[in-house]
Amino acid sequence: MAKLESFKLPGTVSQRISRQENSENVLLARVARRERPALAEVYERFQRPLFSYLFHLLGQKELAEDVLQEVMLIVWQKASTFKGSGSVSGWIFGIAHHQAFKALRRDAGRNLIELEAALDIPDEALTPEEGAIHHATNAEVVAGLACLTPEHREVLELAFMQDFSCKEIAAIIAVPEGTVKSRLSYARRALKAALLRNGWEV
Amino acid sequence: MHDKTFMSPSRSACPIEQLGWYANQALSVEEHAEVEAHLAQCAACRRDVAEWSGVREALDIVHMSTPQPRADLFSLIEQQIAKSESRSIAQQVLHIASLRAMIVCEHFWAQLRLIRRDLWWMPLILLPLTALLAATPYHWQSRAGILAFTGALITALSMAFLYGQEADPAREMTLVTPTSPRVILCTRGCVVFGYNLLINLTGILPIMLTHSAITPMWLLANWLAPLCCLAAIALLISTLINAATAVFTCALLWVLRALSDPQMIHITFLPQQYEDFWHQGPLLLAIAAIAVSLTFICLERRERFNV
Repeated sequence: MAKLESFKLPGTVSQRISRQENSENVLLARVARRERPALAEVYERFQRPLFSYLFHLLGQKELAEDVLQEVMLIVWQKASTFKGSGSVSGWIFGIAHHQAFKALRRDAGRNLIELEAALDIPDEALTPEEGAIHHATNAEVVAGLACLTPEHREVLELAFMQDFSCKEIAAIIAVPEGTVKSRLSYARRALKAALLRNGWEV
Repeated sequence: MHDKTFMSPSRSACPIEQLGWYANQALSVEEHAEVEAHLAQCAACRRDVAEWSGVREALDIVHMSTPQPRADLFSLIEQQIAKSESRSIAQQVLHIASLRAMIVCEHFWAQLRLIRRDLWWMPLILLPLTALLAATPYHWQSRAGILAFTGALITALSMAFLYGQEADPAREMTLVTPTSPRVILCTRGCVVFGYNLLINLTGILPIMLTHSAITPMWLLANWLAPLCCLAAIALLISTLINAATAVFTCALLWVLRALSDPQMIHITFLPQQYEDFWHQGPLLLAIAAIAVSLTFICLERRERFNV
């Protein structure tokens, strides 16, 4: 568990906000003053969560690296426009969201596995197990995630991998909170359906 | 999960939407306590939370197995920054200028398609007139004079009808997009006026080339200045009042001019000073400039009242 915590931005949402908000604001202000070491520090602090988000959202390592570069370049150029109304991590993830979906649109030709078929599975088939997803292997979950639409995958990632609150996610992806909530419920259901369809059995 | 229970009225009071966030410890202290109190008495929600926790654990493992980005990624970022900042000022200016030019071109292209068709063929009347005059034995000066006289009137008519009917596409464009009505007036005016100038020039140019006596100064005072002045007046009146009034005013000015010109009719009804006034190049151009400025100043006010 200790390993897990060090891998993530530490602490729960509220702790994180109180502890890190200030130092991150200062850091970004230094980036706005064109201090290159401050950018290196931003990269050091955000590269793992950002890369994880981009990698799982985009599904390709090279593409995720390219988009991460674009995001850091924008952070460098636009740091002075950060208003301080939200958290720094929310602001940076908002940029990452924007760039990632731009990349996805560029790449629109690639084959997203159609999920409708998976969702047609009768409800009974989805009900018998408890903690169904829990029992799937890592590879199976990755394969299942790949079947989701980017929007669903993204909200699962932001909520459960990056530990953002509903409100923060709503700000990052620029949709109402109600949409985030329903998207998360739907995403869980879709993930389960995808796991079932990919051959996972009770 | 259990969609039958999910839909049943017994769960309508459950905080279903909160459960995922509860499992993720992303609720506020009060919300967390509320959900906790509910969970103590609701088995269905407890199952739900367990499942959400399962999702969380599964995704945690996926998250932890994320590969590392390439080690030299930050140096690549630094290279890109250096590249973007080494762009010289001249290159940046050129880049901005090309972007602006693209915007201007797009505005012109949009207006070219929206301008009413009549404005394109109306000035073409000048071309057969030129041919007709070439066949007459008139002195070159009166031929050029007639062309200048007609050309100015036609240009003024075009400017008076710059906008179409009430439901003009340009007008709708200003209403539905943040396009300034001044930008539209400017592009549209440039297109129509430029087109008329071109047609006028094709009529005047042959005479000018065959008679070296026509100097640029002569052209300015007798052709360009009256044309600009009358067109500007037409534009101003059509903007302030309406196209019909503009047409009427311009026609009146030109009839009076014809009546006071001893070359056109042998007995003049009006003092010749009036005709002479229409040959004072700098003064006419100044009036034209004032009229165009007034048009642009009054345009916004009129647009506001109309909307």
